[in-house]
Amino acid sequence: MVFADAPQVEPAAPAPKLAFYAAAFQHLLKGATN
Amino acid sequence: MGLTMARMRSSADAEAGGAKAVEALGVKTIAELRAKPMDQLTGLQSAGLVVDGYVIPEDVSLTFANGKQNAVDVLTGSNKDEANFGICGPGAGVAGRGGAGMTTATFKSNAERKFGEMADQYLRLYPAASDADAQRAAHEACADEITWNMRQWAAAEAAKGKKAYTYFFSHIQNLNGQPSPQGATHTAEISFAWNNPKGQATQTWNDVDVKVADQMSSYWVNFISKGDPNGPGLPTGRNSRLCRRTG
Repeated sequence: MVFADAPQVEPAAPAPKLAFYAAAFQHLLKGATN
Repeated sequence: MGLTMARMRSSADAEAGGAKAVEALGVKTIAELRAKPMDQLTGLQSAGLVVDGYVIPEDVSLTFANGKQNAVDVLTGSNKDEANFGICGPGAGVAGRGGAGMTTATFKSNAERKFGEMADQYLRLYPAASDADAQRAAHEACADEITWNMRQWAAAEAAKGKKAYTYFFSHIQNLNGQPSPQGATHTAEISFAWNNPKGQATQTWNDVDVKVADQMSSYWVNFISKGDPNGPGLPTGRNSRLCRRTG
């Protein structure tokens, strides 16, 4: 199905993966240049 | 900060990288470098955005993390097959310039280099028992990481009280009379956002492509003119992957 035919409902958000990237981002910030 | 997460380089680091690349080419002056034929220069890589202490005073990730970015309404999003454009490095895609060649060993070493002590956690989220698994995992992980980044961007603006929307573009357009073999690759959404059936010479849009472009461009016009992409006749709301209000 393409969204032009009907609204494409977002499936269950990939919560564990998004949580991982959020944590990885915090880890990355520790070494960021400022 | 970028399409994927990475630390920005300092000027000194970027300059050192440039000097090393030039040395590898066997030249010692700018004149010698300019005299090199193009085919010997195509392997050079950009340093990307550099923290130069002047135009860019700090890693932009810090700017956003600390809420110091400009407060603006945003419509952010990404595409399902970004990796096919080479966005996540060689081999992370399943087609196009970013496609093919990923192995379990490379996938694992890439994870360790990028995520360090968090690599094991990453590899549990994207299991790859075979090279074929690694190819799919790298492709999926690239899309997920960019999706997170676009949500993060929108969330950062929502936290400042601005209107923020995200979309996830997965439509595969027809090129040369068939579905694009590169899928919904990087930049594939642009002709749809501008409702431009002639955006690329290879576009051979069918009725669905035309309808998608009509809808997507309507979101863009609505956002630009009213600050809200949603409107009459358009799939809408928090449950739509297309334009979802963040925050």
